[in-house]
Amino acid sequence: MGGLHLELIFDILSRLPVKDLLRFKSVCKSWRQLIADPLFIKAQFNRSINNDSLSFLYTLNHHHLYLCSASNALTESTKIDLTFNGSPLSVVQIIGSCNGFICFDSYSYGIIVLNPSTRELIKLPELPGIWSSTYSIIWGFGFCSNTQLFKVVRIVYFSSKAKTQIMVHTVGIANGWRRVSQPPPVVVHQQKQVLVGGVPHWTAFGVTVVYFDVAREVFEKIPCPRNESGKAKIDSLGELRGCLCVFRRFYLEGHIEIWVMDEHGVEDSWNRKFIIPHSIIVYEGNMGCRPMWFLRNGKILVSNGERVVLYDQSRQSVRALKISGSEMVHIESLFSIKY
Amino acid sequence: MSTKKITLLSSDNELFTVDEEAANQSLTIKHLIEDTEPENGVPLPQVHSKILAKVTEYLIKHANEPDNDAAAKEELKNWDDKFLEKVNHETLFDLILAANYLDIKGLLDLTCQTVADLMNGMSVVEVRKLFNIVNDFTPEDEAEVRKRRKRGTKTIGPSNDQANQSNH
Repeated sequence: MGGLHLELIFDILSRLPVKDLLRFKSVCKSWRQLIADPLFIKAQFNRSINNDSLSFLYTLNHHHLYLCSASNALTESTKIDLTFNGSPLSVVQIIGSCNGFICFDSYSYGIIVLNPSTRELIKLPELPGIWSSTYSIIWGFGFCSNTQLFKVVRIVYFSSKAKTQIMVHTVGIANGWRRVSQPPPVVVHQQKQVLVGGVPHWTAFGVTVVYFDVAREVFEKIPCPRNESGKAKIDSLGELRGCLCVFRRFYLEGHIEIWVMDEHGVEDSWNRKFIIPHSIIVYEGNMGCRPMWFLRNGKILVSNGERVVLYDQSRQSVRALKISGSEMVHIESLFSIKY
Repeated sequence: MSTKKITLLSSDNELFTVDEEAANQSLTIKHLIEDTEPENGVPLPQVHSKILAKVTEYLIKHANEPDNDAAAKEELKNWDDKFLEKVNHETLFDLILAANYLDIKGLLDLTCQTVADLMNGMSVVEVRKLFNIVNDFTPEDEAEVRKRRKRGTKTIGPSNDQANQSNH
């Protein structure tokens, strides 16, 4: 048998899951080198996205992080080992998942950025304390593709003084948190971010989308799609294969519309892509409903607050996934934080 | 109406005849025909008849790929699965090399994915055997890897003193 050259080995290995690749680093020296190559890591990650090789990330009892693979019928949850310098870490809340890294607020160690596959863990510097009793916090965790750097942003709204404080940190750069003077153009109220192309997005009172431009470190807003009556209203955000999308519920009509912004930031590019009847997705008494992932075969994973369902448009049917939790989608990667 | 036939010549001088449309899926063959206009078949000195027989079988089946017909796509996918079912590992690797040399994207994709699926859950030793790879790590290298793995979490702590203690 003629040996395969490295280009073909690259092609084959880029189709494997991270778990197998970590093991196959021990096959030989050239494979070890290949699996650590940034080009390979990127190709493998992009293939995982295209093949819908996703996991669901969630916390239980605000202590542990779990990953549940969605690739096969036998879904299996794995508890992520969380320790820092030998001490166990708790999870107050998950901030986001981006390029295989998870950012979360740990109870006693502050903000942690972790790649659960490679177990690379970074503890971010301490944040300035908040000397107020009434405030709300919005977190963002994103990636700047120009610089290949992760950034974490914290917005604090002080309700008593009607003031806003914005702090930004570049992960892996040892210069602490920086202040950003310009607050978001409208007040962000949605707790959890939705990532589109590495950029954190939030909703602002159901009529506007706000995002944090990770490269320029400024907040921008996007107008939402409008009805014939001129009314703009959105219920939740999502990411559809690299594009921003919104869920809009119409109670009278009894359906949910999914609108997609084909060109980011261009209002004219809003397009209505799907109309889903209410009754088949939303459970009684449950108001929350958001898109989690759009599969390559056209099916949609929707979280309806209770569970994750797989919606098949061609058959107008749903199937509930047998998973024990799902706060957000996570794609495993071999990426490492650069310096 | 008859389509133009193309003759392919394997490394052991066996002839294979396929429709031009089927042959053109191989960019290498397509360019060879355009550039050299061979009269006695397109010479493929890197491909043995045993492998070329398989390759032409694939090319003929995929000559008219369905665009929007879901049922036809499904049928083709099932055919692909069966196509490599009884192929041994050696032939599979030879098919990858042939698909790469002949520049047939679909066949390269299919064969590489088949090997990847085969590797799912395999041990390091099994993978070395499959790829005919000799372990070139020294015992010292392996001890180092084991040590690093045992140490577990790779942690990077920041310098906390640099945290920006700004006022509100």
